[in-house]
Amino acid sequence: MLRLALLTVGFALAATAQYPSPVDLRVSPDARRLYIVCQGTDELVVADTKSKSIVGRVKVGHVPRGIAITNDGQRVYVTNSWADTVTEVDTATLRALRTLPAGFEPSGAALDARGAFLYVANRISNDISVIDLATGAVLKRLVAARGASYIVASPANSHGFATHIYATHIYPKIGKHCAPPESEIMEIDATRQVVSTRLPLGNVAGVFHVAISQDGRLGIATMLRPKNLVPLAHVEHGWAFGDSIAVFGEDIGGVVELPLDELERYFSLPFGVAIAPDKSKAYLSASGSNEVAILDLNRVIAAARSPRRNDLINDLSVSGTYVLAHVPVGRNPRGIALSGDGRILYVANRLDDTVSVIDTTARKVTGTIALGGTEILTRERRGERLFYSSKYAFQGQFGCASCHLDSTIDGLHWDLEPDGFGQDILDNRALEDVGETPPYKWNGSNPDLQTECGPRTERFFFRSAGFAGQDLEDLVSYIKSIPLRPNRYRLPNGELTPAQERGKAIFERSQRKDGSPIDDTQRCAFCHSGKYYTNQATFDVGTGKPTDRSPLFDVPQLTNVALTAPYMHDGAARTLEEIWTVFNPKDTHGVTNDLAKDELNDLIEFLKTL
Amino acid sequence: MGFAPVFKIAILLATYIFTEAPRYEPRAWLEGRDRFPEGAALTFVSSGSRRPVVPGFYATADANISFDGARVLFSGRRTRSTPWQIWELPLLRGAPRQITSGDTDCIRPFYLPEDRIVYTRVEATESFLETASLVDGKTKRLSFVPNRYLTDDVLRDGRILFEAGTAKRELYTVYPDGTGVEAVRCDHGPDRGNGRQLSSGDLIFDLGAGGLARFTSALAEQVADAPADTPNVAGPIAEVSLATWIVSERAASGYFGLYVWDTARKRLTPLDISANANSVDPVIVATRAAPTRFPSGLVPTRTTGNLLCLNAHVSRTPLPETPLHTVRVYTEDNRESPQLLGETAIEPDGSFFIEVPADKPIRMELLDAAGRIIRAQHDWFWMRPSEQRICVGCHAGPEHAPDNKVPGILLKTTTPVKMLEAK
Repeated sequence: MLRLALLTVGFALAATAQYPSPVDLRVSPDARRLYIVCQGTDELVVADTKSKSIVGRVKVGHVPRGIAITNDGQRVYVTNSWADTVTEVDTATLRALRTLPAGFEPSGAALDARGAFLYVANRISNDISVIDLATGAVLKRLVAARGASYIVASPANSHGFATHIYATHIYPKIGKHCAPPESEIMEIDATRQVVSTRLPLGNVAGVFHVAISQDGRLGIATMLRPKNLVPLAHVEHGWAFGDSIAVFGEDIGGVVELPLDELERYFSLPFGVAIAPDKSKAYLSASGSNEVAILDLNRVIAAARSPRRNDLINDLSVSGTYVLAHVPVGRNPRGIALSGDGRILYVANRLDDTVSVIDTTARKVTGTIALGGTEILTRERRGERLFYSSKYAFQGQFGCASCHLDSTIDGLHWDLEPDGFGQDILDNRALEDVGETPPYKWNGSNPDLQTECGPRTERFFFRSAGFAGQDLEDLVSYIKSIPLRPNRYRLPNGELTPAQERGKAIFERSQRKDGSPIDDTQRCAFCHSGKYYTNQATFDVGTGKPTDRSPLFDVPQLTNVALTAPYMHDGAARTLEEIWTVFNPKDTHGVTNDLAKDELNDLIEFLKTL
Repeated sequence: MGFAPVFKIAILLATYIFTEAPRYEPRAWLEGRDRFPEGAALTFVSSGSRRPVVPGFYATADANISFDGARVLFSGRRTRSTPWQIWELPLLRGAPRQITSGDTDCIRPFYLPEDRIVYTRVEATESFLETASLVDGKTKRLSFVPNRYLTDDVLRDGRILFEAGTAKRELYTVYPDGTGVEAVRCDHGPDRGNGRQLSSGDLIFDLGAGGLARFTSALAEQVADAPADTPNVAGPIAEVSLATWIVSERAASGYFGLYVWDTARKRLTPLDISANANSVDPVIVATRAAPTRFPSGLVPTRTTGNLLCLNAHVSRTPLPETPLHTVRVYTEDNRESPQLLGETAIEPDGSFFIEVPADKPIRMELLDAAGRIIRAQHDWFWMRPSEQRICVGCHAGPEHAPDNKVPGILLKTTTPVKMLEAK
């Protein structure tokens, strides 16, 4: 009876628990207020910096992610990533004034110096919305790279204008199979509102926050350099990831990538970045290793200008020359913000529901602002903390979230050692709805998530004690609870567009265009059936490679499949269309070769709705 | 055993155990000889009082405290005629329990996670690293190159720190299943031994030339630690706190004594000095976090391991401009001359992929197209059954992370060149 009662309480808690989950923040120009974006409670929380107490809460849209504040401090703009909107907040009354349109999954936001235009990076539509704040209308959208997420404006010039806007993206560009991932920093001419240049980032997948010095001459972006093309035979010596920064601008004379890791210590999943007003220091948050690094920028610039500048990125003994200190903070630190005088650094600890206050002179946490929320941790919340922690991998190099960025994908394929070197190259699969679609692993060899995330993960990924017992159960609970991102391609009324209808008919068809019957096993809807569009079986669909040990592959679920490129078990298909036009010459992966380009487009339109 | 009066000078608020011995030859293990040829006794010191840890034994040494602080692991000889074996003793009450057995010496034990220990087994011509279960006593050998070894510590990340050599000591690490053996720094540096991990994560060790030095996570090079005016400070040290260590220093009498080392002021204060005995190897008695458990993926029924080199041209020490053409692989048995296992071409990008016998000494040579040896490996290493190992280069150093690109050899084949039988 007691057990039943506890179970009931547990369910009730899971249903009602609310955690603020702060992800980004800004300091008001007068330094009196801190505006904190709380993703879990759909709020903008306002704190008094002196008393470190909460003085207001403003309801914004669903799953807010980014924030910008006007130079006069009168308006704050919060992006609502799941509502595809921006909330304009009056800081005097702490009331939402307007809801502005944005693209799919708006994330970072930046204002030009006059506060006339708002630039919003849209993660799913892969573009930058330029919003005219006078009219509230989207003036234009600038094509960005995949997963456009974070954005910053350069400081105002002598005429009061921000000269440039810089944007990053968290997924690599879709490139050639087994080629190093490529990313970029997008530079926008803020005067003409056009893309002025794209700074290439070689071998980078996952670029996060970006900051520009007050003189506009130095930029820093945090990023990941995965080692997905080298067999993951072990973890030591930076074998899985290079936690890094890109430095760019006039001070550098180009773009230089620099490491943040040491020989036996990793600055896992670097995320937030801020540059001191006097350009003496930079501050970075590590969302996996729960710390802030303080960098000496003179030494950073010296390293980036040195003759060895292009050889430093894989040297784990370099960061010791410019990293001055590591300051431990709360769990999963994300956005960071400096006070105007550079003396106080605020850090949003997403999975602690707190903000750490760091005295930058003393280089230590001097206070913590609690943001409220449910005090008792549900098993899903405990699991989420495990998912985002890097402490389980050998020497704390990476965690689940290093590959499953924000619980999604990384857009990469990996060479995992237990299958042999160069064999069974595997695409990183999405986690949405994964809890209901056993078995797991591309060959379907793991019957449940406990097997997938427990012994297998610690032995072949972490190479160190991983999740077991209650921790493992908590982690699985979290993975099963990962909320589904709203589908942007379905009509609000639930009906399909004509193209989607035509695509659905192709998906479900049982006859070729010439009227001949299609064998059951060659119909799309045979394998991709059921609620999650998988029959949870393994099949040989002719996509195996000579380097695959078996041609049998697990049928993946198709939830939000339009967002999860590349495709197939090894990530060889760069687009949905390539699955049929390049990798299905004999109709073994469903009959598609009788379809015209327009019909494949229709099929894609339907798949986007799943 | 009874030694001469001891002079305690400094007051230390720590409980510790040290080894007291009339004769101490710290480098004797390099020749397979006893470090304590006239016996030794573990002494427990707490609140100014002292007592023998294991009364009734002819010799006891090498204390290591369990993670819960309740037990001590040590090497001991019950009588003068019995070899050193590994024993475990509850610190509060109880009798010593013998863990290892045999006719050979077992010394320098350390606790591992999961009720296992690691120690050094010493034989007439060589020694090796071995683990044993505290539950059933089953042992597993970890090292497979004939050499002299000495266990030094178990690192917080789960790896075993040890030193090896026959004349000059070098520090190495290995996982608790014997995989991944490598030098702590691939620098063929000075004589280093008696390594210990500090709470900061740094490795502190003594130098053959005298004094202490450390490896930090941030730097590839060693950093001098002890000032030049205390050249006789020697490890292993015991860390009482960040600011305070207990160290062994050779006193004017010629014997090693224990001193308190103030790390901030760089000052030594006498702690335990005997007029006619050595006081060495201090160990703090306290609870501590267990090292991280290492989940082995080995398949013990297999007999080979695979080795992939990403780019043989990558090296700490520059290679000649001549492109590398061939890699030649050797093994050896019973310290006889090297036996060729085979050779294979090096890809233009410097990669090669070979399968070698497990649990055998392995050494490689790099040759140019004319057959000239461009680089020959100094030391031997080993691979365990089913071990899959990748090197960034040849002598690249642990500071060198891999480039992210598919090695050329894997674009040609995913099957390693078999080099399993001596030619």
